[in-house]
Amino acid sequence: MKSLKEQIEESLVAGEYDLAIKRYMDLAFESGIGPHIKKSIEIKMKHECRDDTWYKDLQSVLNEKSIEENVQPLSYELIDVSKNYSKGKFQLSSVNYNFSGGEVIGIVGENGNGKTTLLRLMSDRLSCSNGKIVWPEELGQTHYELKSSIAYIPQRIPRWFGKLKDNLHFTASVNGDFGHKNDLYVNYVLERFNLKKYADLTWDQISSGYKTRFEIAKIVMQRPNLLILDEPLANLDINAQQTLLTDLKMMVKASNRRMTILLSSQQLYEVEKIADKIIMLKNGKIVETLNGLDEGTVSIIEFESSLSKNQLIEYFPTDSVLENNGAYYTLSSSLTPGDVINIFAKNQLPLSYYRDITNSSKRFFNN
Amino acid sequence: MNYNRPFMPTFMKSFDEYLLKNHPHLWTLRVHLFAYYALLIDGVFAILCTLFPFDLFNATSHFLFTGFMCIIGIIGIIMWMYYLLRFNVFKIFGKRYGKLSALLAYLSFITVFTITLFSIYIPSFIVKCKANKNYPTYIVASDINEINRAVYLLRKDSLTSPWQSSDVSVEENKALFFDTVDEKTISFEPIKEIYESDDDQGRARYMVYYQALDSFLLRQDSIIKIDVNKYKIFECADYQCIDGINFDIYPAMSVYNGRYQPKTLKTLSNLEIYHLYKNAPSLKNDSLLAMQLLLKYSSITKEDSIRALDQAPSENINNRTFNNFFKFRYQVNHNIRDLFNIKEFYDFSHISVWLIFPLCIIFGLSIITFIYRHTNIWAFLLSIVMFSILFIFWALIVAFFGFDGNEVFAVYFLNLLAMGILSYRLFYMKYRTNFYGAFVNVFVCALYAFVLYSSFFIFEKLDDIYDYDNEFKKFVHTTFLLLHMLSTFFIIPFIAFPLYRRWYSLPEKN
Repeated sequence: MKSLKEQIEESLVAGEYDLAIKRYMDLAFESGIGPHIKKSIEIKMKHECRDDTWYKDLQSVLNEKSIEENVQPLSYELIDVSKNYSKGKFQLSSVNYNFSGGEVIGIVGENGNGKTTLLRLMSDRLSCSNGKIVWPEELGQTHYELKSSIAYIPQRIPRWFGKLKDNLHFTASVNGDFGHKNDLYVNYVLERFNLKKYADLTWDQISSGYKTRFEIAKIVMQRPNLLILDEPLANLDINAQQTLLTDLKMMVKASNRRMTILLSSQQLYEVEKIADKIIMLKNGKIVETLNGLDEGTVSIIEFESSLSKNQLIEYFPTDSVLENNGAYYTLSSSLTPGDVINIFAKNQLPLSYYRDITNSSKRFFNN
Repeated sequence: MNYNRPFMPTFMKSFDEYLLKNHPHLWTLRVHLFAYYALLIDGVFAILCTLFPFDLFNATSHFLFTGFMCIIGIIGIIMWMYYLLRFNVFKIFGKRYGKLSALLAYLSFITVFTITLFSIYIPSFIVKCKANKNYPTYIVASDINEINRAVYLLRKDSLTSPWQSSDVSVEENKALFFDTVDEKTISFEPIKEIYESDDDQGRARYMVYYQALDSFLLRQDSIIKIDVNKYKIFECADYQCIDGINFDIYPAMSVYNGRYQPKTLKTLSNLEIYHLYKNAPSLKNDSLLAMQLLLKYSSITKEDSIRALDQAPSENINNRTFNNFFKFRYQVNHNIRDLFNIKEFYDFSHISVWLIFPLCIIFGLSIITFIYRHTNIWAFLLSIVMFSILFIFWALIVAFFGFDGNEVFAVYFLNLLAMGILSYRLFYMKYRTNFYGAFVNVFVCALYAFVLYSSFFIFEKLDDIYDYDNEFKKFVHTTFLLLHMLSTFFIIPFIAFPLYRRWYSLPEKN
C-alpha cells in the first residue's frame, strides 16, 4: 500500500492539487507539529488565492523528515457479543469479529437489524448482555478513558450552543490544546473542512449537512482512536456525501495513530467505495463480512430492459438465475460481467440500466 | 468573538477569548461575564442612587431601588443558570476535566451569589454613605444633647413629675421576674455552679439571671439601701426631649462584654441631664437654637422651617409658639431613629445573618444543579421519589417510637452509610441504572445535609457551654462556618465527583 506522502506526490503529478493539499493537511495535523499545520494552512490559502508559490512550498515540506508517518496498529475484538433488550424482541446474537486500526468499516443492513445497537456497543454506550469487547490498551482501562478515546456521532447530533467557532475552540482546549495551538488547530479544521465562512454562525443558521461536517471537525480535534458514525450520510446531498466519505477515508489513512472508523449507512454503494470492510447485519446477526477486494465466485448483475423474463432467459446459460424485482432484473450467473455486456451488445438487446453488484453487499438485499 | 454581546468592551472580549482558549472550564462557568455585567449594572444603579434625593429620615426610602436590584439579581442568576446548564460542563469527556474543575464549578456558585448579594445592598450602601456624610454621628449626638439641654433648661420649672421607685430584695438561689411582681428578687447563685449543672433548668435560670441583672443596671438611676438585702431603686423622670436611641444601647451591652461607646458619641441620659443642669439657670428667652436643631431633623420643607423661624424671633419667644413647635419632637424622634437605621445598616453585627441565608441558598442550588447535571432526568426524578419515601418512612418510625435527637442522628447516619455503600457498588458494576443514579444523588444530598447538620449540632453544643463568652462564641461560630464550607468543598471533588464520573461513564443497560 502506498504511503500518504507517495499519494500526495502522485496527486501533484496528476494535477489533483486540491486532493494533494487536503492530504498534506491531514498528514501535517496528524504529525502534531505546529509549524507543519501552520504551513499547511498557508499552502491552502495560497492555492485558493492563486499564488503559485504554494506548489514549491508543498514540495519542500514533503522532503522534510519530521513529516514521516508513524504506524501503530491497534486491534479490536468482539467475542461472542450479544445484546438483549428488556423490552422488545430484538436480539443481537453472538457477534464475533476482529478488526485492526487504520480501517474504514461499513455496517450495512436493513432497518431494525442491529446496526445502531452494534455501534453503541462498540462505543461503550451500551453494555453487552453476554460476551465481551476487547479494546486496545491504548484507549484506556476505565470506562471514562475509553469514552475519551472513542468518538460517537449519533444519528441525531446534539445541538451546539453559542457560536460554532467557540465550540471548536472549547473542544480544542478541553483536549489540552491551549493558546496559539488552540488557534492553530481550529483554523486547521475550518480550512480543512471548508467551514471558515460558517465559523461565526450558530447551530440554527447552518444546514444539516454542515452540522455533520462541524461535528466531524470537532471530533477531529479530539483525535479519537475510534470514530463511530451512525448514519452520517442521512442528511447529506450527493456531493456532500462524496466529500464527507472522501474526508473520512483520508483522515484514516493520514492518522499516525491508525484511527478506525465504523459507520453505518443505507447508502450501500457510497459506503462500499471507501470501506475497507463491510459487515452485513440481518436479524441481529452478521450474515456476511466482506473485504473491499473480495470477489464472489458467481457474478451478480442488476439491469433494466424492456424485454420480458422469458425473452431474456434464452440468451443466458442454463445455470443462470434471472429474477424480476419489479423495477429491474437480477442475474446470477457463472458468466463474467464483461460476458453479460457482450451478450447484450451482440444480440442488440435493449438495455437502460446496468450494475455489477458481484462485490457489493447489495446482493444480500436481494435474497 | 462574542460580538453580539451588548456593552462588551475589547478587554472583556480578549479576556473571554483567553479563558476559552486556555481555561475552558472557567469559560463555561461564565462567572467572568456575570461579574462584568453585575459591575456594570451596579455602577449604573450606584450613580442613580447617588443622584436620587433620598429622604434620609425614612429608612425605607431606598427600598424601591433595592427591589429593582433584587429583580435584576434574580433575572441574572436565572440567565446564568440557563447558560451553565445548557452547556453541561459536567458530562464532557476529555483530558482536562478533573477534580479542580468540579471545585471551580462549586466556587462559581458562591462567587455569583456573593456578587448578587453585594449588588442588592448597593442602594442601602449609597444611602448609608449619604446619611453618614450629611449627618455624622458625632454631630447628631451633639445636636441631641444640645436640644435636650436647651429644652430641659427652657422647661425646667414645669418638669415636676415624681421619680418612680421599686423595692428589690436580693436573695440567693431564686429566679428573678423583674417586671411582673412588685417585690423584686435578684438571684446571686454562683455562676460556676450553674455552669457545672448543665441542665435545662439551670441554663434557663442562668439566662434569666443575666437578663434581669442587665435590665436592672440599665434602668438604675439611684439606689438606696433599706436593710440587709432590700434596696429602693429610683427611676429618673423623662427629661429627654429627643431619645438617644442607639447610643444608649452600648453602655447597656457593656454589662456582657465590656464594650463602651466612645465618649464623643455619648448622649445624655435622663439622670445625666438632671445632674448636669439641675442647678443651671433656666433659659427663658433663647429657644432659637433648640428650634433650629429640631427643624434640622424634621421632615418639614425648607420654606416652612424658615417661616416657622421667622415667627419665632430669637430674642423674644412666647411659650405658646414653642409648645406648638415642640410637637415636632415625636416626628424628630422618629426621623433620628430612621436615620440611624440607615446609618447602621452595615453594622458588622448583621454580617452573620447575611452570610448564613445566602450560603444556605448556595448550598441548596449547588446540590440540585450538581445532581441534575450529573445524572439524567429519570435518575433525578427517581431520587426525589426515593428521598421522599425515605423521609416519610423514617419520620413515621421516629414519631411512632419517640426517638430523641441522638437516635434521629443515628438513624440518619445509618441511612447515609447504606446509601454510601450502595453508591460505591458502582465501581463493581458493568452497566448503569437509574436506580444507582438515584442512590448516588440521595447519598450526595444526604452527605451535604449531614455536614451541615453536624456542624450546627456541634456548634449548638458549644454555644450552650460558652454562651457567656461572646468573643469565644464568635470565634467558634466563624471557625465552624469555615470548616463547614471547607468540608463541602471536600465533598464535591473527592466524593461526589468520582461517583458521578463513574456513573455516567458506565454503559447503559438498555
